[in-house]
Amino acid sequence: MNARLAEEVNSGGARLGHLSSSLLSQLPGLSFFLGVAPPAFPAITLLLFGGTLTIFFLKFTKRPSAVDCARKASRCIAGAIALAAIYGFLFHYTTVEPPAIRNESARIQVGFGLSTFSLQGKALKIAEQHHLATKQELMLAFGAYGDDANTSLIWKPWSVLLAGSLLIVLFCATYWLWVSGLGWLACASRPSNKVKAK
Amino acid sequence: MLASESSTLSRLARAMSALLIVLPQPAASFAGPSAKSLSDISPAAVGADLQSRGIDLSNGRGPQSLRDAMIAYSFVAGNGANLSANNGEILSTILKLNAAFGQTALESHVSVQTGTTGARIHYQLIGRDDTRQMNELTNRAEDDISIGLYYVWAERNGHPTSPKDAVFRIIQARTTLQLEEHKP
Repeated sequence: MNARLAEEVNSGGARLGHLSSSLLSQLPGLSFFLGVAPPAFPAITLLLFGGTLTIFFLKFTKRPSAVDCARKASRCIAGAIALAAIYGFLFHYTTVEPPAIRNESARIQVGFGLSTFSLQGKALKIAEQHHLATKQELMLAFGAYGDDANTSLIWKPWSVLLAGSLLIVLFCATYWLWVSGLGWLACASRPSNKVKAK
Repeated sequence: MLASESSTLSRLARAMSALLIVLPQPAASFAGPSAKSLSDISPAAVGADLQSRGIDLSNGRGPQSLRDAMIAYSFVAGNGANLSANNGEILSTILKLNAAFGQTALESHVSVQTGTTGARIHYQLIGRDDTRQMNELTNRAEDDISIGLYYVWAERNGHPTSPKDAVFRIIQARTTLQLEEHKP
């Protein structure tokens, strides 16, 4: 009886430890996602807290074999890394931050960099006339960091909307794949799966 | 087995929720009070913090919405002693002030000087067509304007007395410009 109780306690402890470490492994990823949320929809970061637990729970409580879990985990994580690379590029290409001297970090959603298809005609003319080479200088030229200005003076509204939407979709997809990948990985290394493997 | 794991997971979820509160928060909006002032939220401290960021609310300067919210907050909070009171009025003014911080733009307090006093200062963003002028003449001409690239020139008797195509980069929280005038 005592031996059985000790075994159950050990088993429970192992499961608890496993779950704790699996969930804690999400923290570095979460803090990364918090720092690069799409500026057009910053409230999305609030969804991350609940989202992490929901996705993790969904994956973790499924019962495929350890091999299946590991396969799915590697696919999800590889996909997340690929999407994160695309997101990182697009994030810097389609957003702009205030001048460094102001020590402010909130980025603003704009269109597709200095691409001619995305810029308004007047912005193209001003950029050429004054040799403005960066998005930040264009923002300054039009006073777009101000109260009464908006980025649609510089970028075509549809391109700002498209860039913002792309960022949100990519952000969600990357986040989903990343958390799912870690969930599947935790599932693969679950104590019950190890027992099955033996 | 599944029920046991679910129960453990729900306990862990509660612990994680508490833990996540202490995670780094997303970047703050541009002009809210800085972290160092969070321990002191009396109206005087908030005003001083805004001034250090280039937002001067004295003498009717600064964005109207923020001025209104600051006046309401100062009225309710007094010298800060009332802040401990837990009433809806204080909470309401704090929420309005907080909302006004979010709407505040990045501004610079600009002072313009000329060799001789009495010139009217005009300025215009290089990408826009609307021209504005400062209320006071030099050398008391100053204004809070959005950061940007500006044409700034002086006029006397309606005639420009400094180059109208001189571009100034106004980015810092406080900027002083010295204009060289020629005879009109």
